[in-house]
Amino acid sequence: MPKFLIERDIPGAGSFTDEEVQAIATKSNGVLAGMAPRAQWLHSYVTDDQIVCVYVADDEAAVLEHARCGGFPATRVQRIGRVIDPVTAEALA
Amino acid sequence: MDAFWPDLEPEAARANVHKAASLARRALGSKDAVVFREGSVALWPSVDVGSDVAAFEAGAAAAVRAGDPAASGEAAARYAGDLLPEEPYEEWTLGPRERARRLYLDVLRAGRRWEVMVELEPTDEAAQRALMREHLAAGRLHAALRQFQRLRAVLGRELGVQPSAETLALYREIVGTASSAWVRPGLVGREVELVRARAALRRAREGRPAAILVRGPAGIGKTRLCEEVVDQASAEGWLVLRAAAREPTATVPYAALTEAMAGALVQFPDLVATLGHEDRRLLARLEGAEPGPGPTLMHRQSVLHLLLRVVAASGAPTGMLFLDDLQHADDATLELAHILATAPYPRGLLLVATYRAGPPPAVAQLRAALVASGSAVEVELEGLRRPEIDAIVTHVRGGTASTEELDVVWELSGGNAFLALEVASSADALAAGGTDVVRAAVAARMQRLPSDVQEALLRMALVADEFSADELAALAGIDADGALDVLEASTAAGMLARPGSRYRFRHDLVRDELRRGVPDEQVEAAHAAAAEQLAALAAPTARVAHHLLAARQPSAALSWLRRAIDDAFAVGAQADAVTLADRGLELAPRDPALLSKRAAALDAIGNPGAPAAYAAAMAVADPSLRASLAVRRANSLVLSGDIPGAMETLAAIDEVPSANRGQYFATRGLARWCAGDMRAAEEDGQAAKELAEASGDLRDFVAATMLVAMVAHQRGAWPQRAALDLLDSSLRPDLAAVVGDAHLCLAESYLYGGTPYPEVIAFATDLRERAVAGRWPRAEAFATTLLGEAHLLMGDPATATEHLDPAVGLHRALGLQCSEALTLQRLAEARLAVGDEHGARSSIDDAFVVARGSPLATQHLLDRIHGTAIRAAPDTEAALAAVEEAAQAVRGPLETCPPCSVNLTIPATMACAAAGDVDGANRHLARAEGVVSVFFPKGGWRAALDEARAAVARTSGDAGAASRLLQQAAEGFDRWGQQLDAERCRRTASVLPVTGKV
Repeated sequence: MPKFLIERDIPGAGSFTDEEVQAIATKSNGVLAGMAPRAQWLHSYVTDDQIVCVYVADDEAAVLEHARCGGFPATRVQRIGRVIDPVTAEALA
Repeated sequence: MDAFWPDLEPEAARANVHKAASLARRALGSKDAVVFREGSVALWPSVDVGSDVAAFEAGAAAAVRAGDPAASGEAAARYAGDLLPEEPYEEWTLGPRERARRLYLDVLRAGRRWEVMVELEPTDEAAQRALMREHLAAGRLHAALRQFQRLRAVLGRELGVQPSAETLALYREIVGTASSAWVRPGLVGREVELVRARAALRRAREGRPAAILVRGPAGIGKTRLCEEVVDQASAEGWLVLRAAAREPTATVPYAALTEAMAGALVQFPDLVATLGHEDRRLLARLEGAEPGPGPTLMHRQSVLHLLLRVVAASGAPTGMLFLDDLQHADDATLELAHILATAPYPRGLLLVATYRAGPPPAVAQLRAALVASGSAVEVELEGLRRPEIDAIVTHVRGGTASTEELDVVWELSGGNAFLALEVASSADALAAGGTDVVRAAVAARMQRLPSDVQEALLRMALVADEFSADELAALAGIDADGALDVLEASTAAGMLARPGSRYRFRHDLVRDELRRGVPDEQVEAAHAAAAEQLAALAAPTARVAHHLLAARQPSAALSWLRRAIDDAFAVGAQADAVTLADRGLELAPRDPALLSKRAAALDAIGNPGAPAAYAAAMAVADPSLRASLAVRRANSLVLSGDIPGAMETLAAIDEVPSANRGQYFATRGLARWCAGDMRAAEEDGQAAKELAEASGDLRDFVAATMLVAMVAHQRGAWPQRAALDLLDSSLRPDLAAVVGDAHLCLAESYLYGGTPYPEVIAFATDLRERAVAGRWPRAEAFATTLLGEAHLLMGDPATATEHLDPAVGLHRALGLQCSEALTLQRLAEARLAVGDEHGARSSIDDAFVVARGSPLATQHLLDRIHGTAIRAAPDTEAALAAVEEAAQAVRGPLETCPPCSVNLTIPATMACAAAGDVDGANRHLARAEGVVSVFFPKGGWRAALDEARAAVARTSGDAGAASRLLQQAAEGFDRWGQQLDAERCRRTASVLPVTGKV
């Protein structure tokens, strides 16, 4: 399944408490459970006003459905083409 | 004889007495009935004569003395009405009539006959409260609430005031006792949305502007989600102002905001006592009461001032404004909501709003602006998931539900929370299945109601969204007691809900269902009847117009629309006036009154379309109105900078109506001043001033005095002009009070006009000494502020504060709000200069409060205060927010004046540049350049403009240009003696790269 990068504009995301983050994660898991196996959450990065998530999903529609059902904004959804890391440099050399 | 025939000679009066005595004897059948004896007249002197009035008075006085309710009741029954009602204005009847009436009231009070008493004296709050308590004790809760509504209406109408704190406390007790049969459902799902909303709460708590915008279809749970947010805020001690906008009041000025303010006063009765008399009158006026002569509001800032006074009086740590169904809010409410959402507490509030998809343009604009500013959390609600709907069903069905029931509800509700609740709680709806869920559920509820109640509800569904008990009686055509029965039965059946003392359908979907399928003719007839009834109830004119439009009665609708536009103007709701005029023009596109009112409204809000609107109105107006419109059009053109257009318009006027002559000369003089013809401008200014002095029109007087002072300034003779005006003993007191206001702008031009500051200080010191010696306190206050300003600009904030601090008190004691606001704003600058940011922000908040309380201060001070608020912002984000706040709050000729605007546009340019918003910075810079080129040919503002240009160049990556401009600015500030500003420019330049791009 392809991997997607989802940018969620959420003002104040960086100020969420542990309980609030837990509530969001619980909700997300609940929605994903109902959609299984069409989408899977890998992890997310939280900044001051944004949460950027990495999902594995059938397609963009599945990502958007998860957002709609869960009440998450999906400001921008992009399909990830390839992943590179420091080791990539070694391989090329 | 004097009492009966005061205008007759004694002989003639005596003849009349004898004639009357003769007639009386004949009527009574005895010559002993009236006897003249020793210069006086006796009735039946041989027998004991009594009268019904005497008997009543004796009995009543005894009953009151004894304090016996039963005897008092009996005594009251003997009162046969006002004494000699056929002679209401005869002087000799007045005293006895009033004495009997007062005794009657005493005996009613002693007999606890409250219902009769409040009918006679509806503003007697003590009697009204007693009646409310009586209803409450007897379990007549709807009647108690109705009594409160009546009292509130009559106090507003007759006295222009709000109920007392004691009455409001009793109302709270009643509401607390009276349970609306409808119980708010628990919140299911929406965890993520709540977490996001809480982030906005935190943001607002930190003193940053914030908004929560919830969008979704009817029944999806928007209100319920917001109530959860409201609950949390209330639990944390926030002040929560809340209201729901409604379709029939969508053009009633500030309808939702007024409801929110009134609601807060009811919720917190102690707030009433902290509001001044004028504040209370203003609120009563907004509520639709007509208290007679009262404050004439010229602009929306007065309403904002009132709302913020309510907020401040609460003493709450922070506050929220919750507006439900924003798509039905009037434009004036939306404008103020926007200002509030862009400002930090206490001059702003966290805005929480719900609206449906496809909102009107004004709501869409508000939403787009708030989202773009980054301060809004936008939540779009979708349907609930199956497990969440199942949870609702299981809860409603008492903890258990069959799989079949769960399936049916899920299928029929489609995830809509309201529909799920309706289906789950209605066995009939469940059994009926199909897709018409609401119909089945509503039908089931209706079936349980008597037919007359059903009929009343159907009628109300056609014409009202929210109503009081008395409005229900009037609109449904039933008597007052019948209305109480309808309310009792309908709330018990879950058809109506009672959020406070008013009633509404439990949900819009319920009302919509009742409306469905009703033939158009029946709907129109209902609206026509509603318009008639509401007019009789003195409902807001815009509401009556709404029903007449729906009734397709164009002629009557037009008449009410014109009245509604005038009412909107009277409370500064020009945005609503435009909407109302547009509605009318759809019916009558060439109506002269509507076209001219529309043009005036656009003009007042600074809409660039105002000159064209005036032209359209002139095309259909009669000659006299056309000339008046031409003067106003020319004024609008001058303010927009089109001097040739203005001169052309003025030249085409054949004869200036006398009412417009002052404005004509002031406008032409201003145009001539802009064109550089000082001699002609001065002539016009003097002519306008003479006319204003004769008419006493303060605004015209200020405009004319300013024009003459502008000419003097151009000639380098402003100090002499100012001294002459400020020490002029021939002026009427009311005009003398605003002379300082008229010179305020010019004093600023003088300060920034290149005169060396020691020279300014010498002038101000001399003026102050003369003022003190001659006991001219206004001139003393004016000169003291000027001294402080000069020291501040010279770079000596400590000495500046020594003058500005006492100047605030001097102006306040004299009631000179404009100058007081200016002094506070300067004090804020002085505090900023010494690093006292907290003190500066406090002075800024004070300056806003003072400025908004006066139309003149609003016009000249808002630019300055917002400019200082931008400079005082603790960081770039806060500065940008302050720029956005100013963009919403300063608009049109009532809220800004061209020379003053540079105080805002320069700091706005700097703030946008610092935040990397080059487009925004260039927009503000262009406005600043335009103003500086016209009004400040030399002086400090030229240097400030260079500093702003440097900031834009720096953000655009042109360090070379930035450095050059900063150097230029520093030299300019040096030249004009503004040392601190010069040093700042050099400091900034020193950290730039020497050349090239940043």
